[in-house]
Amino acid sequence: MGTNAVATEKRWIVDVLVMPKEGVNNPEGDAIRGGLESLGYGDVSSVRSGKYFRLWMDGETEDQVISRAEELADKLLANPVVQAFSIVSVTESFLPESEAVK
Amino acid sequence: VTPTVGVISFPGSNGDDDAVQAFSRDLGVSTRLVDYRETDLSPYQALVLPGGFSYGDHLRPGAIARFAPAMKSVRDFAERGGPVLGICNGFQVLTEAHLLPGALLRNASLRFHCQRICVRVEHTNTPWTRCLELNSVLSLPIAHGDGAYFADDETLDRLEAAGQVVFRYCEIDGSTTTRSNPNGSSRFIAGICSEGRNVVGLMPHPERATDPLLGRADGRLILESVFHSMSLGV
Repeated sequence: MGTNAVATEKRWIVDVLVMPKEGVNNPEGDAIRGGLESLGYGDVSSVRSGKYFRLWMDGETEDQVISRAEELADKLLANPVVQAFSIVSVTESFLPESEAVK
Repeated sequence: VTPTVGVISFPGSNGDDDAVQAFSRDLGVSTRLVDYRETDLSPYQALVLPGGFSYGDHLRPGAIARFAPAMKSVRDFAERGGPVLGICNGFQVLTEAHLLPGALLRNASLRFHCQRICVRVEHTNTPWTRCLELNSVLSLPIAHGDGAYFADDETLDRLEAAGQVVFRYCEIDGSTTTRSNPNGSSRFIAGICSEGRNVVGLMPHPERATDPLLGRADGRLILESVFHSMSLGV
């Protein structure tokens, strides 16, 4: 195992969405809505703006990667006082050979 | 023993030297700049987290500074009851570190506000407000883009009931009007303290108002308070 640990570990692409919680002011979203209205998109009645992160993570299983991603999102990517995060997608990414060898 | 103040300097802090100058030159107190990688805070009897843009405000103001090596020692210091003052970005760092409740959001106007404002002193029983007069109005400078204090209603009610709202934005006569709230803070909150009362955070800059040459010296009493608290052994 030890010597080819890198080769057996998989790499994943994890997308995380962070949005302001309900009831938290989002002046950025309000400003964007105003901009859309002046562009003729009055049919947009509300905009909330958040952040989108794409992480490249190493891990054995999808479950393991998801739980690590949730942990780090709760610790750093989102401030749980005012924001909520969701793991949007987890897909396996195949390491290019040059990286697998290291 | 003469007390020594430690001012934690993060990458991107810009109010750190202002704080050192205010304490050392204007108040004549021994003060040292403390590198964010320092973990031994035993030489200090009071700590200041200064204003600025630590780590470029990336992700959220204070979000990355919270994990700086010095912050674990700041937490220990605070948990032992040591007086900690977070000014502007320092306040943001303290909320991100959960040493103070709530969060600071983008100003409602979406504009950076650099101006003089007034705050009303709501409580004086903290080590950083002991020299202030209850209900008095202070004129202090602000300079921030993310200063809208937010907490859910339950937390706000709890803070009010426990007397943890220390400063509120107001007019010069002490009345609270929408106009006097520069950033859209919940319930006009400009500064709060921890449950243990020893950690205080505020958006205005008392360290930039310690000499009449700077316009007014209303901030001086905030900085001086901590030494009165120490001599009282509080």
